[in-house]
Amino acid sequence: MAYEAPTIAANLSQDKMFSAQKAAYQKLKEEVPKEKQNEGTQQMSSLVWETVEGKDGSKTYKVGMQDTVYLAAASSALAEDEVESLSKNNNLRFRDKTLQVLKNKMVKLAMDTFSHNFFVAELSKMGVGVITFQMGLLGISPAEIEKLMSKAREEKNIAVKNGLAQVASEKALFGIVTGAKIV
Amino acid sequence: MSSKKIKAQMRVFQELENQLLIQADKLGVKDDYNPIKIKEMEYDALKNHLLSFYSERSNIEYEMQVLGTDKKEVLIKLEKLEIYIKRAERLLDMYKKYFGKVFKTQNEEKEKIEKFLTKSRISVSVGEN
Repeated sequence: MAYEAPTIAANLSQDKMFSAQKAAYQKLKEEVPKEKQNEGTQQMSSLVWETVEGKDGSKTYKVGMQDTVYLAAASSALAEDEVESLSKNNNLRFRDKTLQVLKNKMVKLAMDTFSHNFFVAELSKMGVGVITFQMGLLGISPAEIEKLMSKAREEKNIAVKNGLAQVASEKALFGIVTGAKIV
Repeated sequence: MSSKKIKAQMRVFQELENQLLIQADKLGVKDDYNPIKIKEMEYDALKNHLLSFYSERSNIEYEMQVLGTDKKEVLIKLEKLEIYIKRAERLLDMYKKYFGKVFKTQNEEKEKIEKFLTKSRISVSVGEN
């Protein structure tokens, strides 16, 4: 079965995502002044980002307009180990952390789009679409997303090369230990 | 190890290789990993293993000669190492033969093509009329 590498330009569904995201962002921009008018009466909630075991103390952030997008993005993309590793870096703030998590996730999923397993590849493509959309909402430019995709491609290339070398090495060792004709 | 088990293990290696080659195909770099290239990787890996066996053998021999260790365990280890080295050297020879054969057929095909091209050369003479 022939596959096309998931590029931003070539993928129709991603194009649709971009246009939808653009429209949503435009709408959001228009709505901001109205919200500001109502700010006095609106109840603002807060967001708590807890660090590991609460040793560094929990941090509270006021939830602004765009933070809901950050929250949604974070909740869909975060894995526990990723949260932990990022929480240890106190220099990063909540938004930076979310973006970093999304970028890492994007690279991982983009790498999986080249998987030999059909289902893994297709699901990863969907995941890449969703994260691209979320990143678009958070103001990441398509150029940067494309950069991430090419980074994923490079990493996958290296992984394949290393994998083949590893298989060759194990095959050679197997031949030595068992005396099997591997040629 | 029985031949059945060896075959099963070889099938596992083949499957892993196939999966990685599918991934390479999707990346558009399958041409970089043709069968000869993969055999070359195996050959390189074999050479590396052989080199590490040589160094291990010299270490054990040094230990035996200088430090005067002649424990049964060390002797058994050395014996096993000798067997592995012999097998590795035999495999290296097999790979060399394989490469020789491949290059020979490639040269023959190349010669055939060249011969065909020289035979089928069309000459055109242009007259005054």
